[in-house]
Amino acid sequence: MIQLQDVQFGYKKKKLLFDNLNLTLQPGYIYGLLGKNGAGKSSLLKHIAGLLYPDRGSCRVFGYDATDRNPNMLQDIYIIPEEFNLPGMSLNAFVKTNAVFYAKFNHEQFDSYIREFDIPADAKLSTLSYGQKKKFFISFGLATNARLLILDEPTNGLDIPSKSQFRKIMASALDEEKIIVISTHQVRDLENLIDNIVVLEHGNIIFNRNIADISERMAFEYNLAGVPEDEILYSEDLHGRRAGIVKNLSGFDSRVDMELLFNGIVKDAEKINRHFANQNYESSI
Amino acid sequence: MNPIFDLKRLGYFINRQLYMNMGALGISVAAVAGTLLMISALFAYFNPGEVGTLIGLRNLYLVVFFVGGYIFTSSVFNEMNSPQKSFTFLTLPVSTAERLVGAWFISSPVYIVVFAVFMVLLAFISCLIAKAPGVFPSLFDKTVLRVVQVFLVTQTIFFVGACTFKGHNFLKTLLSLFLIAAVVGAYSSGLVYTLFQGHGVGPHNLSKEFEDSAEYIFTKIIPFIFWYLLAPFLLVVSFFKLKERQV
Repeated sequence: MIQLQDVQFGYKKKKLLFDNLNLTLQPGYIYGLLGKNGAGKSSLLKHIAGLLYPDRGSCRVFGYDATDRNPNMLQDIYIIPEEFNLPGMSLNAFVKTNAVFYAKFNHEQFDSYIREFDIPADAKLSTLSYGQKKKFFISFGLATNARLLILDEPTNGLDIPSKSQFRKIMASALDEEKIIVISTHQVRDLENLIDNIVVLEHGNIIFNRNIADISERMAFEYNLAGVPEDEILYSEDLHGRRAGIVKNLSGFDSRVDMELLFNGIVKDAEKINRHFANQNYESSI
Repeated sequence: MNPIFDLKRLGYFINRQLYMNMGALGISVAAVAGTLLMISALFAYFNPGEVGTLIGLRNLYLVVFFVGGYIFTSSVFNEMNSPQKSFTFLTLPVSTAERLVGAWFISSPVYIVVFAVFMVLLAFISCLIAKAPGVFPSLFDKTVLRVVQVFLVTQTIFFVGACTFKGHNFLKTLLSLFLIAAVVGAYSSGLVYTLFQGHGVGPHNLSKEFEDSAEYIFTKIIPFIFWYLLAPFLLVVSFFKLKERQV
């Protein structure tokens, strides 16, 4: 389990990015971390990986203080950042020199990911394209079998077939021990993949819900004509029509439109959260 | 595995660091060795049988040994100091103590051994070209050993610099040394001026007690600090710098 408790952090002393931020991530789920530019997504991921230290509060990863960077904790974490630079060595040499640090590294698994992503096994890392490097990195990260996998904008630079391969591989890699955190702006790339949506705005977590809850309690409509105003939680103009989020009163699970949901949360998170609170209250009585 | 220090993991780390930097290291070593070989061959050829030239060449190798060692030490944490690589280095499952010992081992003992091999080869070739092979053993006298000892101590200054600065570590360490020297020099000058009211320092105005104290400080305390305390202290400072390092 990952637990951030009352985390206070700022790059400048007088300007705090996180002020008493609390977040708990449970094993067995894929978390989608969403937010606008500068919301603090990368900083949050860096705190979890022990790459940034909170000024106050604590960040515990599988029982360890993340700032200790204990090797036993680090072999259960793999981070794939948005921007990276791989050394000028062969793919095999990289695996040979780096895999030894991860007790659960599985070479067969790595080979199968590499084949799936269509990366030449004898390639030199410096000769690969950005997208291929990213796929190699994702393959290596998954093969470490780390319990926490952090991916910052993983689909940036991937072509369309690779994006669907990515979704397929990520879904198959999850087990009840693992936590996968994916931070992205490409919300559509995460559809049908993530279990929980966490939205960060100005260093605060303004939304943290399970996809099942969302699809049970909200519906995403692309033409709001005829929908009573009191059922509309958020609306926006979409190619001349009014699309938006409405209360799901049908009793059936809806298909979650991540982009609409994100826009709705950013516009008025309080209203969206209130809807969940009201539903909880109604269901409890 | 022990989370604080594990020899097996240290071995993996040293192997990784050497392997990942092999390309850049190889090019640097080849360039320096090639240049030294050219210089040695020219000087030895045009000054046959001259012992002074061979000793001069040996001294040149030692200067290169120092400068090269400081530059190499300054770059030993390049991966950590690069914004696009630091995350792999800092999240690698290795303890801070292992990072410290591994990087020090590569930049000090390994560097010394590698340079020594090249130096022996270069000196031998120079002696052969100068037609004075008998001089070869005398080139490796106590001076060389003393130089290695001094390097072992002073190298740790650049090691701290490698842990502290993010980029241009060698130049920034040199600048810091210059600033520290300037501040210490200015403070000492001010202190002497205040103590002796501007009359200057000489045997006429120094008491026996002061002379003894000064002699004791300069011949006993300062050498003791330099040879036995400076390097361990700077390595401890490096440990905490590494431990507190963030991206």
